[in-house]
Amino acid sequence: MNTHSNHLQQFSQGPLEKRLCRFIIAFLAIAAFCISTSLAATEPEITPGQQANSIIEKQLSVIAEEVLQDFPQDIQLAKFAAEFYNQCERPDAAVAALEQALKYNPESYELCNRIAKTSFANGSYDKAITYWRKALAISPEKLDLNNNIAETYMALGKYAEAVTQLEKIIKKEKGEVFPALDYSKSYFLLGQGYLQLRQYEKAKEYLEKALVITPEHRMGHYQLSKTYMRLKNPEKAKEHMELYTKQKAETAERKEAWAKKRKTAVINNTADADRKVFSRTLTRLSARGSRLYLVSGKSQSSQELFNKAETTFQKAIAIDAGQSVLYRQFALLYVMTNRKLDRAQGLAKKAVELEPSAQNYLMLGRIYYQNSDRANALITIEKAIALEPGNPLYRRTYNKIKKGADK
Amino acid sequence: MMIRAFFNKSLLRFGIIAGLICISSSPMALAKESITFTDVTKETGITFKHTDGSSGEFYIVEAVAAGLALFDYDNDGDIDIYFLNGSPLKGTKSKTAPKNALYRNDGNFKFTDVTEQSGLGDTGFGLGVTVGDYDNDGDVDVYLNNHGPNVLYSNNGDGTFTDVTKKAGVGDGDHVGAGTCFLDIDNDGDLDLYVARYVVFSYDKHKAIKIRDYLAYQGPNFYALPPDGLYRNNGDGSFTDISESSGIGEYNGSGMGIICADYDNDGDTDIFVANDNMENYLFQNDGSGKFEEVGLMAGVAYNFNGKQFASMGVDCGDYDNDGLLDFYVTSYVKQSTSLYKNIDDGLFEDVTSSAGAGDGTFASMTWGTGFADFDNDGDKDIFIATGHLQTNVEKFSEHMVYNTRNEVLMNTGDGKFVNITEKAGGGLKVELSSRGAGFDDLDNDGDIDVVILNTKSGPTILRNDTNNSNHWVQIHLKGTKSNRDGVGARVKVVTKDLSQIDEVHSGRGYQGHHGSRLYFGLGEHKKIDRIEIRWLGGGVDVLKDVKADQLITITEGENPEK
Repeated sequence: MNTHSNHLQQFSQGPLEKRLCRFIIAFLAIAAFCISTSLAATEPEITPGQQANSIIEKQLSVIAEEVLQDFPQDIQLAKFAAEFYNQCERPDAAVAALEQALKYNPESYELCNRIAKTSFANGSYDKAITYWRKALAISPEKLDLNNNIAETYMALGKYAEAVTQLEKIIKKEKGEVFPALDYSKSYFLLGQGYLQLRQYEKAKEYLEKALVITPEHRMGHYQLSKTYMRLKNPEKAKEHMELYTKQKAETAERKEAWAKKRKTAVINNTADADRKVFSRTLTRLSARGSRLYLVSGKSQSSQELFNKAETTFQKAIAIDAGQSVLYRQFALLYVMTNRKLDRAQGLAKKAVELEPSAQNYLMLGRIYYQNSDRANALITIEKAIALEPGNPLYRRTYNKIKKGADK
Repeated sequence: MMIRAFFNKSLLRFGIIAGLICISSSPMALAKESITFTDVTKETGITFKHTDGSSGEFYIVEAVAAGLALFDYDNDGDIDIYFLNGSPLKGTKSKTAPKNALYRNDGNFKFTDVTEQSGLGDTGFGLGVTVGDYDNDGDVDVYLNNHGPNVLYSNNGDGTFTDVTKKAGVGDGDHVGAGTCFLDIDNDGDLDLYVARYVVFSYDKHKAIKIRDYLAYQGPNFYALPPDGLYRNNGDGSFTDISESSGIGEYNGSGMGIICADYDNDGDTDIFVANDNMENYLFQNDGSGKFEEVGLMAGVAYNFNGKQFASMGVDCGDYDNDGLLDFYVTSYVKQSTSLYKNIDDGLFEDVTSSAGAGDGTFASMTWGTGFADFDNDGDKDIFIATGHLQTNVEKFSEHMVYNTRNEVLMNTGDGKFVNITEKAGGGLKVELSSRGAGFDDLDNDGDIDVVILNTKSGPTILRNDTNNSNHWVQIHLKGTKSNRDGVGARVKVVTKDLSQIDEVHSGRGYQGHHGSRLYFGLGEHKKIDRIEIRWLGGGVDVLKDVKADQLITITEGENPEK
């Protein structure tokens, strides 16, 4: 009893529990928000679509913050959270989530690459270079990162550095072909870099090389046209400008046809589209988070850290209420500790309701039996046997209960 | 030559500072003091408030309003302010129609609303404005490029204006206006008129976009794009539409800011059109008023890596003092502004990144802009007015806001810029959604002040309080054979090792006008060795050994080159 009250004390005071309280409060706030927004139908500025998106966004925000705090080391989680933050145009939060995961996984190429991409897209070019360099150090075979680094140097106006970065790869070992390198892009960037450095002959050389590999490289023609103008060869400049203009017109036609097809749908259903994106992220984030909580809860159970495990399962269910395994494992915790068996019965029933599987019926049957409801225990386990007749465990349990063996 | 010396109101201050500063032999030595602006709006007596005519329908024209004009409407020697205003759009209720507003400069940053007396209180939906003496009668006239019919106001010379649109034939139909410029396309001595048009808009075809299910402004690409208009001055108070015959009418676009300048130094005036969300146009004049679009070949259509962006405003100036006019273009959020360096032979290089000319502009939507030597150190700095387009952006974006801080980039004298906004005084702490911006010496103290039109809000007036003892000269041109305002004339100011050029423009920045007089910072130089004016049409005047720190009016032909 003393131990139990100690646990309760810990529950109310420990940092984990405090977070759980915050978590629950946040969910209550969301619920309140749902109710208030549904009542606030008179508010003209908020459409039902906005309400729904706002709810899901807030929900995602709470979950992301919570799971990142509990599992800062998990790469998948960081990726999903970063996706969400990017969807909400919160690039700083996205980078922070990824950087936190990187602290625990300093050799993760994927994390470095993602941080760099997000940084580049948001104009943090120095940071992008730093992380692409790290990614390259981790996975030197990813030679295309050199293109990214060079492109970023160009965005910074450091054309000489960009050219050096690319020249190193292009000329590394003459004759050697790096399958992982997009040579067309490298040559194009080199050409562009030399153009900015006013080394027009070199610019021409590399842009022409790029166009040999990719003749349809529209911007290659554009930059080559500019190069020829600087080389005072207006005829060639015109030739490439015409190719550029032709390809541009073709691209525009394709885009226009696509846009016509999509225009009405895109304009009218932005809320639906946003919600789909958020929902997908929510599903992924919740699934990953609940899985981590499940594993963690099981581990805590096996270490007999029952109160911690209880909190963990509560969190798992809070973020992913549709997973029957969470209810079953949570019920098992109570069965193992032989306490809160009424609650355990409720959890097991919920598991069956969500997924009427043999495993869930078995759990519910065992709890009925522990709660001295032998009749229901037998009926329930019969259902498990019906679903998996070949499973000897179910049959053994059934027989044991039928014989009236001790609980 | 008529010389008018203006006593510097802060002469004493300059004297003290000059005594304290250790003067070096380089003109750049005095350039290290930061540029400082003070917000003096409340003291000016200006009560104008811009309205965009909106009613929640998100008509595209609301978001892009409006420009402003700085000019001396009453020829009293100080620069007055003219603000454009919106008008109620369909569905908007308004008890009294908003009007454009003219404020007379009474000196010392005090202004009086003279809209009613002047007759310039147009109630159309104001988008663009330019100023020029189209009838060469010695006073400046005003052209409004509205959403809806445009208006030409002729200055009566007594502080009042008369609407002469019908007689002039420049009503320009019923377009969505944008930037507009007076220029002399054929060097015949009178000012012609370029009229940019933004999109083909009608209420029945209007559709707002939705972002995260919030209504928001649609981009220009949703609409059909019109060609711009060009009108030739017939010399009798009327104009002829020559859009087609001039070559301009072949190009449809989403014109916003425009500037006319002789970028290729061939003695005629060319036209740069900043297009929204498509390539910019550069119309090269063949000298007879016929134009060829050369933006792609010249390298100003896109940014350095060939990406198109949403250009807003444009200005030109020789930022690196190499004798060639460069262009600076503002743009959308998450797109840096662009600095196109003129590398001669009609070619440009996008040097934005290497020059640091986009520093601090990536995160903001940028509109009005101007090259101006705010610290009079002999090189042109850059001012950028910013503010988001979407009034409700905070509802669907957590890291963007509607009201933002404007930006100042200081020229370091070596072809580079540094963003000094943080250190540029309280005037740069103002956060509103700015559009047009104008740059002129409002208190005639020798430095360039700033006026900003903030959409859906009052304006911001910034007094230049930069603390240094640099010298300056201001030049006002008076054409006799060429147009009366000297629009298109090229001025070269040489002081020992410092050689600067500038050109008179009518219409610039974001759909506005400023800088009818030209400003040259001289650093430590108290004397100008040579001022050379190359008038449109070929005449050249030269002045030698001119004292610094004054406004000089130079009349064409009075100081012919010997």
